[in-house]
Amino acid sequence: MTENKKKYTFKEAVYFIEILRGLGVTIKHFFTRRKFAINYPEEKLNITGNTQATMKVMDKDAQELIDRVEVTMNYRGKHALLVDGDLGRCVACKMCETVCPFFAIYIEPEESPDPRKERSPKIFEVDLTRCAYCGYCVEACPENAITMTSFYSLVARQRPELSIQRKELRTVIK
Amino acid sequence: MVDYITVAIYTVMSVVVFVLILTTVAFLTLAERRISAFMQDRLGPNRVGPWGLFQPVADGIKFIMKEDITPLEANKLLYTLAPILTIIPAMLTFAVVPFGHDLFLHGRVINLQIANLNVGILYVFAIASMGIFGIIIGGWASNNKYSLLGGLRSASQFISYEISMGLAVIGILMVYGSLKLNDIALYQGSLWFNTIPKWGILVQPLGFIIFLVSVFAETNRVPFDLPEAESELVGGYHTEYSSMKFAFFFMGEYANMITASALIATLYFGGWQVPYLHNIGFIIPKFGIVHMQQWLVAIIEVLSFVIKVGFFLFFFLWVRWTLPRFRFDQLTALGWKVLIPLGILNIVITGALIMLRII
Ligand code: SF4
Ligand code: SF4
Repeated sequence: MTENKKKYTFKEAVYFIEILRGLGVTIKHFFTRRKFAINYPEEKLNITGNTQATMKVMDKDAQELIDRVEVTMNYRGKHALLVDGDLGRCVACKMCETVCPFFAIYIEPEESPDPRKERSPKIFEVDLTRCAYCGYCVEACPENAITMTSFYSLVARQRPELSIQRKELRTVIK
Repeated sequence: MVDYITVAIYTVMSVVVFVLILTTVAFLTLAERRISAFMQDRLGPNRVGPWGLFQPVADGIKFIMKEDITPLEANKLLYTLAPILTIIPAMLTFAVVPFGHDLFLHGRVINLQIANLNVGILYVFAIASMGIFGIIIGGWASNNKYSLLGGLRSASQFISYEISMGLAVIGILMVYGSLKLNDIALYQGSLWFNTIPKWGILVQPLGFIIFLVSVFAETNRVPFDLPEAESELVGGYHTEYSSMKFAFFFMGEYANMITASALIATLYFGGWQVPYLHNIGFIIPKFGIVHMQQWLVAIIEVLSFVIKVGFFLFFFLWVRWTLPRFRFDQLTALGWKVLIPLGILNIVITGALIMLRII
């Protein structure tokens, strides 16, 4: 029936010795536990990574972003709309809205009150329950206005609470 | 003439033991989850109370609150009877396990044991084999093919391993010459060459291994948990059970583990014996006597018993999270082709050693 049946050494065939070895392995883990699990709400995962190099190419303020708003390139959490001092970067071009495969972004533009740019978003809404955190919007943005942060603890009692408005996305840098 | 005070003492003792077993069962469920977690580098349930110590309470409340479902075409009587049949023998078996030396109080002899039956071990076998009926009936009555398969497996497994277990115990009986568990424990206090205590593991090493393996099979624990092999049979014999009926099966399994650990400790690890401890204190050969009060000795003995049982409970969990499950043909092959011949061999060797007056 089984032609290439594995030849066992005497030690393996007796099995009892191998059991003792196995018991040794488990008891070693019992006493010297490496800590993989974290007690989530009290301890939080520190999401860092080799984001800096990537960010530098993309944004000259990379280091500051990483330090202050926990923006990372390889972790895609909640979005952020960057604001340089008093001027929001977003020009309401709707690129991100167009590229979003899941229709998670809704933008209503208005004429910018600030003369330094023509348009700004009146309503900028990201529905995080629809978002798949693919990051296409970040890539599409010509102004580097929308990025994603490492904020992953998205908890709410009702769905509308996870539809993030412009005000909540607004992240001032500098 | 009935001695009412003695009756009262034993009644109180049995209630205390009963409550202690139930408490241990509750905390074993927690220990199982915590220890398994530690062995797999996880944390386990640690939310309810300090170190998750109130988790069993939360589990208990959950079990009571759950809906109790009886399958449509199940045999209602047997379906209800099965969990009861599982848990009662598990509790009853503990009655003959001694957990301390006899106490002498005002001219009364109090065994630290609920019932000092003169058929001790036979009683254990008789009652323990009742436990299997619960599983078989539960598997059959719930009208589910997986449950039935689980029940059948447990029946054949039980028959196979009951024999080897009996053969292993015969070796013990030959050496100690008594069926009373208290006598067996007492005898293990005697010394070999005036130094080494005659514990079962030293006198009967082969018998110990056979007994250990058989006990794992009898209690349906990994690596012999085929009756409830969850990856093959959904949930095994308790697939259809829910709520407190399931909890009874669950408690039965853990109560069985406690009894099994107590039996291993009693038969092979001296029960309540501490080496060189007699009921007047420590008697160390060529060294002298350390006198001790009777109650102090009793406390040390009970403690030693508890520690031994605790170690074997831990061992049960330890093995569970180490070994994979046997295949069914491997299981029966091991039982019939390995353990039973070894058991007979053990009896022959023991007989020879007794003839040569070595043990
Ligand atoms: S991350 Fe992807 S899914 Fe989410 S808003 Fe951006 S483009 Fe849409
Ligand atoms: S976030 Fe970027 S892509 Fe989206 S509308 Fe604003 S400028 Fe355009």
